[in-house]
Amino acid sequence: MKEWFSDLAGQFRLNFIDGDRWTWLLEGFKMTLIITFFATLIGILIGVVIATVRSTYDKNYESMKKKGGIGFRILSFFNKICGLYLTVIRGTPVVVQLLIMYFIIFASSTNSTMVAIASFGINSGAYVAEIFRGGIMSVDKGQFEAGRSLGFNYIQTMIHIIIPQMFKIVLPTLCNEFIVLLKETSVAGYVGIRDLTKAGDLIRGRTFSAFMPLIAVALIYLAVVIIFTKLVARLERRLRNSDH
Amino acid sequence: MKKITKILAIIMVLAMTACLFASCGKSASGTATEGVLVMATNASFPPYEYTEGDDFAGIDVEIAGLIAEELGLELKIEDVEFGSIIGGVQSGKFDMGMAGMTVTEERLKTVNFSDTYAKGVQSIIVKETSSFNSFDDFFEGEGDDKQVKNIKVGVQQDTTGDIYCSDTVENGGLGTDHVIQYKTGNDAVQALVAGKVDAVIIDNEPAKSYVAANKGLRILDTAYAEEDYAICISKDNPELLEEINSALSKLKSSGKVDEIISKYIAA
Amino acid sequence: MTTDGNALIRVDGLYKYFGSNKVLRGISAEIDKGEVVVVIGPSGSGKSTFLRCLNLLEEPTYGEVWLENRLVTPVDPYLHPEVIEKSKTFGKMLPSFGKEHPSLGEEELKAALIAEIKSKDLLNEKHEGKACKALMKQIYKENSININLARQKIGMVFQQFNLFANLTILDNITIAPMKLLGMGKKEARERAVDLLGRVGLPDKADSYPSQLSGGQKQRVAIVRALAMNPDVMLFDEPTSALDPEMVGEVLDVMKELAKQGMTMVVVTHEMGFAREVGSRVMFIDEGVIMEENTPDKFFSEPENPRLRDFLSKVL
Repeated sequence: MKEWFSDLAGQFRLNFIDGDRWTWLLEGFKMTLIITFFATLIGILIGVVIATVRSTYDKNYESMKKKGGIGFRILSFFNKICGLYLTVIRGTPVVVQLLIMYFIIFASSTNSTMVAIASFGINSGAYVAEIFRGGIMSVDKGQFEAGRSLGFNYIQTMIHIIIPQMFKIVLPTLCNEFIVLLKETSVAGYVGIRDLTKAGDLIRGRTFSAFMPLIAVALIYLAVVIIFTKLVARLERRLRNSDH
Repeated sequence: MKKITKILAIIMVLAMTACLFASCGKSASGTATEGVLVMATNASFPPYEYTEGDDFAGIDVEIAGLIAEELGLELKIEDVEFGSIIGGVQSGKFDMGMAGMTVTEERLKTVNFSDTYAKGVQSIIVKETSSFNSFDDFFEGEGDDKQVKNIKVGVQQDTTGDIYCSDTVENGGLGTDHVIQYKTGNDAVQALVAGKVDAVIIDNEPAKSYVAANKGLRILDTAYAEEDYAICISKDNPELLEEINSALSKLKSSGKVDEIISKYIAA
Repeated sequence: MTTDGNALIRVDGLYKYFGSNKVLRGISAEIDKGEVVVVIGPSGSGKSTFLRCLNLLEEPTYGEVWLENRLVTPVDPYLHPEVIEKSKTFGKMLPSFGKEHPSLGEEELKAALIAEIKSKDLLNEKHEGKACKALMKQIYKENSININLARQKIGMVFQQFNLFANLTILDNITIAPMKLLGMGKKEARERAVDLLGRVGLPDKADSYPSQLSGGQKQRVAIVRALAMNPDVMLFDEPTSALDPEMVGEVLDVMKELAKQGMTMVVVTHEMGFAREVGSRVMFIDEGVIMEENTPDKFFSEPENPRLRDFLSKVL
């Protein structure tokens, strides 16, 4: 057992101390956080827009179809585009999307971090959109009618009444999506980005040991997820004070 | 917070225990599974190893086949990431690693290497229109002012090209800021074609294949580095090392190794 | 159609179909300023749908709603003979219709054909030609009022209160005047606090809806609608979701409102309220107004057998 521990200490030195390899993990961790953070922002932005278009279409389909007109045709068009986007993004693996973005769509870009952020953001947007749409549809219909009956138009009702309530409903699922996204960024290494997982890989490729780098990487991901979950739980409690 | 620390500690202990058991599982006989020689490789490195349909092909694959024949074993090939080969060999998961692998000081700390069976050259690929003509062109300034130009060099992750290039300028590299590590050599070359990197440093033989397959690329006349390829075997298995070395020397003296190499590489 | 003096709300030939379910089958009514019209009827009779058509929460299948002589709904071609006369259907049918009715003069013939088209619902709005479309557009342009503006003048109180769950009571009341009428924050708050005081809830401004009882919620809902200074208030079964002991507090607020001269349309089962406060009582069943009268006569001398049957059950 004693030998095993000294071996462990040796492994630790080899994997993290020698050649300052711990800084690789730190840099990789920073990169993972940057990509996840900005991708989340893009995802939420895309999600709100698409969910608004799709739920507007769903809610007003009956009445608008009867009247027809240019407004309905534009809405139908955008609804179709959104549907196509959701189908394609949810129907293909994120690694493949990332590679397509990197090697085909943004082939001329040399900023691979931006490409990765765009890629993960667009991917996440599809899932966030469906989360938001579910949230919008599950806000009590009476809330919407009350808003309209006071004279708010559709968009004002959405902004002032429905979306704030929707956020509260979807918070747990949204948090889950963020956690999924954080872990999904681990494939960024495919396009040469040194994120946390890649940093672990690079250490493994140079020290030829699996245990230390992999466990270290896993623990860092785990710690972020645990801390984030705690923060969201606290936020949820605060939001809940409006419906005792 | 106390709770989190506790959870983390438990996970750490569990993971360590799992590792202990894993390293206990090795068999004492010559190879991990009796009668089978398991070779780990990364089959995206033509002409040394690549896939042809469902089968593996290449110089390493054929030489390994002959070695297995000499030893009276059945050859089984595992296609894994390059970076996982040495770790897998040392842990006893694979009997040997053969993947156009260069002998380096670092690697020798972890595994044993057989005698050399082929020579490798780290070549530099650039676009035909590029003004770079040698590795020195990547730098500007003299003496203490010498620094790397604002360029990026693509490499295949964990290969010698990666390890050399990622090293500091003093040690003959470019520094990590100027290196982008791709999972495969092909990805690195595609990035070069797209203009994401200014050069790719990779073994000479696959470099030729890549330049042949993609228009507008050329290989610089001056190579980055030259190196010897060898088979890696676990330090815990010196018997197998000896057997492989004697099989290799037989195959070399009979001219079979040269035959295979010249079959794949037009001189 | 835009003449005729004082009607605050006028409803013409209102039909509402939900698929094959014909909930409203031709309702016409006028509600004058200062009136308290109480609408009663069995459940499923269409009385709530009628109320919800007034501010277009339900879009009528046919018919028009006018608020202060401005058109709230789209134009209904069947209500405008001059539109039918311009339609392709009319043009196509006229010759053969003339042969079938040789005895009629030209004007009589046209009137008869218009009536025929109307009764058989023969128009197809998308294929009636440019002239017909242009005329409808012109009528709409000359008479219509923006629906959101119209709704600002029509306060509504729901059976399920529908207070905004994410806002405090004060914000529930001030959000619409501030965002829609451009009222300053200070003024909106002062008015809200004043109104809350008048309905007996001066200390609830900073509570959330979930912290209030049903009766309190409904009183806040009334205040929220009043904060927009509406010309008319619609009440959709305002006490039906309340525990019995809370019905009184809400009815008291409504009585007070009526006393102050607010025009009200109230769908309710509270016969006492109808008798005491109503200026007119309307009985809707099977999608039509079966009977309407002053409360006295309505309850003492009901003529329609269905109304008599209904009253015998609820009184």
